[in-house]
Amino acid sequence: MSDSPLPGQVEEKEMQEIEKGATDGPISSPSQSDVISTNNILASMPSKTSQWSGMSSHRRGRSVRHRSARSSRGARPAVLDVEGQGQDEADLLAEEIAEGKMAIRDLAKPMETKREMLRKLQGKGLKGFGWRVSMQRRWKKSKENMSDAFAKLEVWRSPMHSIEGKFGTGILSYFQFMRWLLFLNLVIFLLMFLFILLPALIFTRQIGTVTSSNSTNSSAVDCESRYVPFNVSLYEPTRDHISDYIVDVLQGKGIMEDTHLFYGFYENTIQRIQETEGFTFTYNLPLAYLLTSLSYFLISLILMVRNSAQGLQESLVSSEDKFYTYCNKVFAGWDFCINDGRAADLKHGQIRYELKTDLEEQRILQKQAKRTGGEKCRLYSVRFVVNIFVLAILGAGGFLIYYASTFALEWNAQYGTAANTDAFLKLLVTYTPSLTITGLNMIVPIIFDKLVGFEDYSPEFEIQMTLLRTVFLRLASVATLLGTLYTQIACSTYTNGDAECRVCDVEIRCWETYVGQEMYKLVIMDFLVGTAVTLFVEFPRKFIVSRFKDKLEDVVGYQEFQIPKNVLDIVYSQTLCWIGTFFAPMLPAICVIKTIIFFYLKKLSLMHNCIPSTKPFRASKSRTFFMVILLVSFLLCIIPVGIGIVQIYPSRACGPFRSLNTMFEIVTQTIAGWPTVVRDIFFFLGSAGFLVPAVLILCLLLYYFRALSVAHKKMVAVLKDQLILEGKDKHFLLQRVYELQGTTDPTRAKQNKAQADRKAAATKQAPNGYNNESPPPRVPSSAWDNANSHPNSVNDGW
Amino acid sequence: MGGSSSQFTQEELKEYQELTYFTKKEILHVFKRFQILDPASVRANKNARLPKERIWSLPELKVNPFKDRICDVFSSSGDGDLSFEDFLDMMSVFSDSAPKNVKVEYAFKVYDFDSDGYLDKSDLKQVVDRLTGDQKLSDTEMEQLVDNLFEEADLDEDDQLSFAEFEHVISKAPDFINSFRIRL
Repeated sequence: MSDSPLPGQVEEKEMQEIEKGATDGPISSPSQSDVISTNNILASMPSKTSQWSGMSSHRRGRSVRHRSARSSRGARPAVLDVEGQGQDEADLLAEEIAEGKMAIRDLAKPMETKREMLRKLQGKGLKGFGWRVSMQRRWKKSKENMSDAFAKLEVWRSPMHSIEGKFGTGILSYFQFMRWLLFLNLVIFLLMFLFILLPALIFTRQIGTVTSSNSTNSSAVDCESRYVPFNVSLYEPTRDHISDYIVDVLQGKGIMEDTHLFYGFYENTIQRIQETEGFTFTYNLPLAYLLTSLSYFLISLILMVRNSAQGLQESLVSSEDKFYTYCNKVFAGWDFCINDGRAADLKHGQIRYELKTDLEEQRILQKQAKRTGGEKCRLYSVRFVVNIFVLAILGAGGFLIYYASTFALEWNAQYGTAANTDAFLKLLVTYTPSLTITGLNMIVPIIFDKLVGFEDYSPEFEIQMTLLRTVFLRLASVATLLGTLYTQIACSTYTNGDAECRVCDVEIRCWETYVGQEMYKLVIMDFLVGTAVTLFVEFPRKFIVSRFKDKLEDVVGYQEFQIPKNVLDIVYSQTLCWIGTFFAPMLPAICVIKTIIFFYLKKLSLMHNCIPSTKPFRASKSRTFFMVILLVSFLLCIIPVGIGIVQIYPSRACGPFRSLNTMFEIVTQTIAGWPTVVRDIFFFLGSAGFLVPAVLILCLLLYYFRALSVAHKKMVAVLKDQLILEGKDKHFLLQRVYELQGTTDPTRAKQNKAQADRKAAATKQAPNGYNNESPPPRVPSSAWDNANSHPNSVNDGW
Repeated sequence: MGGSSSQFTQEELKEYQELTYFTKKEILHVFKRFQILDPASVRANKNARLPKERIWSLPELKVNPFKDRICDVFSSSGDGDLSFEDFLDMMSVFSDSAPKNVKVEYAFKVYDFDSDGYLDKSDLKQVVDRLTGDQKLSDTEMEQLVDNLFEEADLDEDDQLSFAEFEHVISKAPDFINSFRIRL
């Protein structure tokens, strides 16, 4: 604090400047006697009388450095002097540009002015451009070139453009999200392909198998022979081809089961890549399988966090100040991308609707504040009942899924192997769990939509509430299915004769493949239902409604593209993909194809059938919202896969981990095979001696960043206060000026005020500036850049 | 693209690159869009100043409620007519890579209908009127809305927004950076 001026002194200087300006400038005051009153004025200025203090010194210190060049040029009375300002301003900006602090293109000036400035700078022989600056420029340039190259790679650019033009950025963000998921799945697929499928195909020379240190080899061999995924001799004669093949493909059984698609096909072998001079390069397939799977989860997480960090910052900033909503709606309301007349009309309507509902809501809130005790009591009991009801629905849905999946398994055990069973019936039964889940996902949200109406929430909260419940339904259904599968897979008593193979159910000899098949079926089901709904519900609906326009339009109406519901759909399918990929490594390929088809299908349906939702969904809000939902489901995905890796016995009959006690054992085995030093390091990393301090340090860091964010928030409040006070000072001073001038000319007054306003902002920036140069219009903006970067930097810490 | 690239020398393109947020390719693309607005006169003189009515035929501007203001702000002659350089300037400001503070400065100018350096009540009312289109808000609603706006943004309570106040409030308006942009 010591090296920077106190706020009070700043005001004093500002005061003197303005006084000086008033004496020398065009509206010079009549006499010197005013100077005498300076002290009185100062004492009575609003900022003097208020109690605030404590501007941060580093902020000011920084701005001082910025402006030091200016201040050294000496005082010139120019506060109210308009001429001569342009020259100084240009010089000042030129200096800043030369120092590399800003680019010429950042100036809010016409091209001609900017060019002049550039010429001038170049005319100076670029003496301002130091080595550092030129390096910065080169770096910037190469970055630009890079982004240019990436822009060429941007897929779906033109469909995106037309969606944006017709429906605005809200719906665009949904499609961008879809594209992002496509890339995510592509990355996962490439990982699985390069590190699991390709080695399994290429390296065929086995030099050994992975076995657990405390198990006998014979039992493993025994189990393998009992598991017959696909027996041609049994299979061929009993079935006629085409329909059976279709059923097999849809179920992931028969010919499908014995492919690289599923876990069970992969071997537990260490393969030799090359042998040179007595040293063998080997490829440990089980280890690769586990590490690749872990890395696809890790990469997904990193990509998600990276993507959501930006959006989260924005939404945190906006949620901090709930009261800026109106400004957001008015000043950022129009979507400048819109280039379609109908969309523009809709946008007008949307903005009008939104503003009206907000104003209405404000009035309702005022009314709500006056709600009587009885009304409140009634409302709360209604909400309570509704919530109980929602829980009941969720519970019933869960039970239904549980029942369906056990039924499918039992039925399969009883009739599935019989030769005379109808193939279609069999298909239907194996699909019962998937059908139940899909059916629930279609029906229950409609019930939730109706229920929330009784609860009398504000419109925005209503949407969020319904969504939250729907998310729970989706996740709960997947969780129930996995739970049911778990009871079938992990049991304490094994079936007779299969104890050494750890088989709980004769039908499930290779449980990993079985789980993979379930996920595969859900993915296929999801795809089929999505396609069918679009083709057989949305298109006919549009056709019928436009056919009988007058009669039906009020009853059915055109379809609205509801972003939340659609987002949930793709998040759900992504969840399936994440869980499924571990058990069916080639599932991401299916997901990629599915996403591409869905993109075009949705776009087609959107362009032809839909009108934008009357309830607008903002792009800034939606991005965070999508990512939060995705993160939640991601966390749900980690749990079952994690349990599968660490806890459940891998199947004895199939897969890369067939002879190990847990899948994770491969890692401990590998580490045990390393040199002692490395092994010790790894064991140390896993020990309490390392973990406890690490956790402690993390906690401290967390605390530090929290403290920092609190401090920043305080700073923002202080700055805001300061702005208000300076505004008041300005008022006060102007009043004095008018009094002294004795003028009441309003246009003049306004002009003066504008200049004084700029002055005030500039003084804030350069507190010890004795200079009286008139500040350039850019100054306030940069001043506020500093102030506003703070909430953002807070969030960086998180 | 070959035809239009011969319109500019390498130096010119380089200079434009320095002065805007565009790459060479994008600059040529902007020129193409400019040319489409009035092919004949642009072919005759690439620095031709197109009347604002011509500029408004750009699809994004055609439906934009602030098109006249945008043209006024970017016109170097001050009458709303744009030369190619003005047009390039405009597209550069509306591009994805333009930083927020540049966009904010122009947005302020666009919304400042009487160009007095302040957004006062009449400016705000005009902005809202243009946003809502044909059906306007009722007078009481408008009053309530303007009051709300001032309550949010007008820190010094002088019933008008200065640039600093505007910039502050935009920094808290997360949609601004998404909406104040025109795709090339």
